[in-house]
Amino acid sequence: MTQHLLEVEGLKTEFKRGGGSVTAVAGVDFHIRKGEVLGLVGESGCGKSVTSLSIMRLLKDTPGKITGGSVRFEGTDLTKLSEKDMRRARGNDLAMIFQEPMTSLNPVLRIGLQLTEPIMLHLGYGRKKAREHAIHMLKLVGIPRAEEVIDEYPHQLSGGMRQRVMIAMAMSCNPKLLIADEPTTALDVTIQAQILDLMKRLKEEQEMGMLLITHDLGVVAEMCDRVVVMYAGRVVEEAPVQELFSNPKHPYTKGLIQSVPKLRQKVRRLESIKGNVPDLSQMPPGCKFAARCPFAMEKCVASEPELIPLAGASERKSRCWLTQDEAVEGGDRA
Amino acid sequence: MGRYALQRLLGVIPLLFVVSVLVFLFIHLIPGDPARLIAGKDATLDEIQGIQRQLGLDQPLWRQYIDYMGNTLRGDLGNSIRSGLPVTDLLGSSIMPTVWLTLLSMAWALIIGLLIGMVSAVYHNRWPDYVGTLVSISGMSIPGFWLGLVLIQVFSVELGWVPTGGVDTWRSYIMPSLTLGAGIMSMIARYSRSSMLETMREDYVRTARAKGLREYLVVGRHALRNSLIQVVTVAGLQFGFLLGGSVMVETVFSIPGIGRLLVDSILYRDYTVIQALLLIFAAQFILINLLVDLLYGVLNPKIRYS
Repeated sequence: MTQHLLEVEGLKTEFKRGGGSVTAVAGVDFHIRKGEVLGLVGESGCGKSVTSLSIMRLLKDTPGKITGGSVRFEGTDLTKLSEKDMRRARGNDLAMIFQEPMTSLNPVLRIGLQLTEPIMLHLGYGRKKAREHAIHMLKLVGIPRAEEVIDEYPHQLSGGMRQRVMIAMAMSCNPKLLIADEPTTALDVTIQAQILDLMKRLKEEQEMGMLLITHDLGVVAEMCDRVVVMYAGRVVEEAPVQELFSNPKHPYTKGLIQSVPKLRQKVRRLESIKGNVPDLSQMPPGCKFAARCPFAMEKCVASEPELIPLAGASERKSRCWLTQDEAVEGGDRA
Repeated sequence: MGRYALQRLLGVIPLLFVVSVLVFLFIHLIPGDPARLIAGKDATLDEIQGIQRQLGLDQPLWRQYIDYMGNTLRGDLGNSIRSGLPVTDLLGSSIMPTVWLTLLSMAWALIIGLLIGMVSAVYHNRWPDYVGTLVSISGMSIPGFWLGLVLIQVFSVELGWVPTGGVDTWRSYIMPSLTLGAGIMSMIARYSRSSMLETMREDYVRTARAKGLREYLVVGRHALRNSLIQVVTVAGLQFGFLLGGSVMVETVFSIPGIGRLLVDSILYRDYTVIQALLLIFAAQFILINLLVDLLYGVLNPKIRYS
């Protein structure tokens, strides 16, 4: 098997809460190839963000901790790196942009300082060269009057501009993998489209892999090559983007797709998935989606299905008793 | 920043005016007649009225205020009723010990308080945090006069390292400033700990970590300045109250500062000195607030630019 850019295997992250601990990410597997965009989809609280923070090992100052599994980046297990080696990877080979552009930049420091920090650190540039590179990056992400903006403070920029600055910052050291956690959720719709276009363009120019975390299926359709659907800290379905929309296998994915309003279809009521995500501390023993699933059987409540590769289609996996018969014979579950 | 600073400076002028009127009224509303006090017990009504005329006390209040402020601006605060010496001379000899005492107290309280706060926040809920909490809670709960007396007993009487009082050498200032600063240090430690903890949870701190910055840069460059904005407020307020606190410390360590001067003047109803001291306390409070406002501007670009 060829080595992928990123291979996440059995990743498990637990949070201390009260006396005990709850499992926010319960054994997640996926991989990303070079130059590929993988969408990570699911409702709020399904563990998407925790997964991304676990990959970057940014759980410090949260009660969270990685308790199992591996995150191999170009063959190296990030979970086993020393803090020093991990710092060398962060902002360099692995970069991240966050959901809230309004609060993700430091309000008391100039854009220039915040931008040149990773450049000087990872590329070893001097102050002057780093500044030139930072201005180049600002122009690259489409910021007008970059030479002036670099000396301004975050509060002088709009949300869209700040997210561009965040992207410039993340891209400044030519990362091999960009993790974008809901990068457009906090922005106006018109700005969203601009930011997505920008990310797409940069990704193609730099040949980098991307993990795009979102709950917006429109963004997924627009940006992604493949999609991983998460529910209650688990992967429930994995599919190439077209197949996911044309032929979703898992009932949860079906529900998600149905709850997107469609323009050409006249419907009285918008479909929604009934019920709520189960509380992390009170997980049912069987399939975590069973309580909300319209197709739930006795078996679903009793025991949890495995995430199994499906026959026929390329790279499809599903975690559902209904799709078990479609499984690859003696399937290799990697 | 220039415009912001100018605005703040100009804002101080009306404030000083209002405060001076209030101080003036306070003194004149206090029962008791300075003229009677100067004249002595056996003075006749004529003698008293003569002194009243001499001091201008027979004039209407607004007239007296204008005369007083006019003299004050010319550097003449009148003469002490008790000793007859010019008030400016009395202040001149007693203000420096107090200034040194408060500055030294504030300096060590700020440095140590911030350090304890930062260490406590970085090692949140681990042993350095517990030690820091213990130190700061003790500092807050121990009464200053008691701490002062214990320090004198141990370091002056038993060990003989430092003098028990006075201001003859710089060593005389060590114990008084320790005593005066202990409470403020603890306040600053508590505040900087909590505001640092709050700041460490901010998104931009996570961004700084995501860049691969070393932890000391994440804390020192990205978190510290933002949490200082809150600490400055508390430190400024405490600094303002320091002079009040120094009354007690100056008494315990027999320092001839303005705290002592105030107590003595109140005991002798030395109105002119009390009035001058109240003006100084008020002006000092206003100036510290001005300083805090200017520091806000330095720390927070949002204030500077709007």
